[in-house]
Amino acid sequence: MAHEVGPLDASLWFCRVEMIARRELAIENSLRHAAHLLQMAPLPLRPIVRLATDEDRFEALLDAGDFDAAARHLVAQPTALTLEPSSDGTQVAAAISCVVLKRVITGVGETEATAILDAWTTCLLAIKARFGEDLETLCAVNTDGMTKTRH
Amino acid sequence: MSFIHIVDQDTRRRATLSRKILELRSHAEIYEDCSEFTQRLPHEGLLLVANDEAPSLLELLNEGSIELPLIVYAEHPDMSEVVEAVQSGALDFLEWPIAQERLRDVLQRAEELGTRKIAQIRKRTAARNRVSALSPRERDVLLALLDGGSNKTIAEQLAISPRTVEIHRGNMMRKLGAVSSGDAVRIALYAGLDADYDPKARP
Repeated sequence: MAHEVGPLDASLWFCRVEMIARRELAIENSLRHAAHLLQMAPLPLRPIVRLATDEDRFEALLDAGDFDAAARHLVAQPTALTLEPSSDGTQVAAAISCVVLKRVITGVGETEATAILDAWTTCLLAIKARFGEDLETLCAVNTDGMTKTRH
Repeated sequence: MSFIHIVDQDTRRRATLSRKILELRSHAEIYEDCSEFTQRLPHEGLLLVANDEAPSLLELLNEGSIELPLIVYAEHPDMSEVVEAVQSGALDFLEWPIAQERLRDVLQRAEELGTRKIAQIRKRTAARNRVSALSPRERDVLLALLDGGSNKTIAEQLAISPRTVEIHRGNMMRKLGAVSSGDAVRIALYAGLDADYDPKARP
């Protein structure tokens, strides 16, 4: 049985998302750290972000080097994520439909995994920019009927 | 903020401050020094502390023995004193004499921020205490895990076998009381270990 991890303070949490966005870590490390961050998401974010698989399966994908498949699990609702190659075929574009922000957030990368991470971090940092670091106004949105949304 | 605890050896300042607090319809409790305060150790309200008494009380705050928001005041404080107090967990630093309007604003702000700040300090103190129980190798493993390392990459980084990493990792998790790797990372972040990591060592 999976144990629920307590929340991290939002300011610390967003600092680590920013670190992933800056691509300071190798892709495997970024994905693993992103999964850890989802486990300890601040409470106001929990209705809208989560890892779409359990830690063991996610870790197995990383061990197998299937970073693209692992990255897809960072987006809670599979239908919210679309992937397509760029027009010249050298890059991948990822788009996450964020219901809280009511818009599509995009990211690009050389692989599906890097594109998803780009869109994922952009989406979370856009939520921070929109609702503030303490996410208090997001709490109000969540209690106003959007608790079922997933980005 | 209904209870304001004043710790100050200067009787005249204590009396002045008590009167100002009364005018703001709050209740002031006065203490001669840190030891008198710790004998009673109240669990409700806000601490207003003269700078002379601040270091001992801030230490107790960071140990988790005091659970009240703390504001320091002093006559002609220098910048280093202010920075040190705030970095040690003081919510604010006021210059004596404190104008009534300033006191009202500060108390209002303390009510809004105090509880949250104290909760943060408590979480950070608890995390630091748990991390301090780790051996140097267990701490190394936690640092590498903090940056998303796997057993294999941690083993390469520390020049030990993956099996040895597993053993250190198991001991580290047990000592931290962590329910998962993510939980261990959360404790490391609260303990401030992210500031200790050498980016050059990153894979």
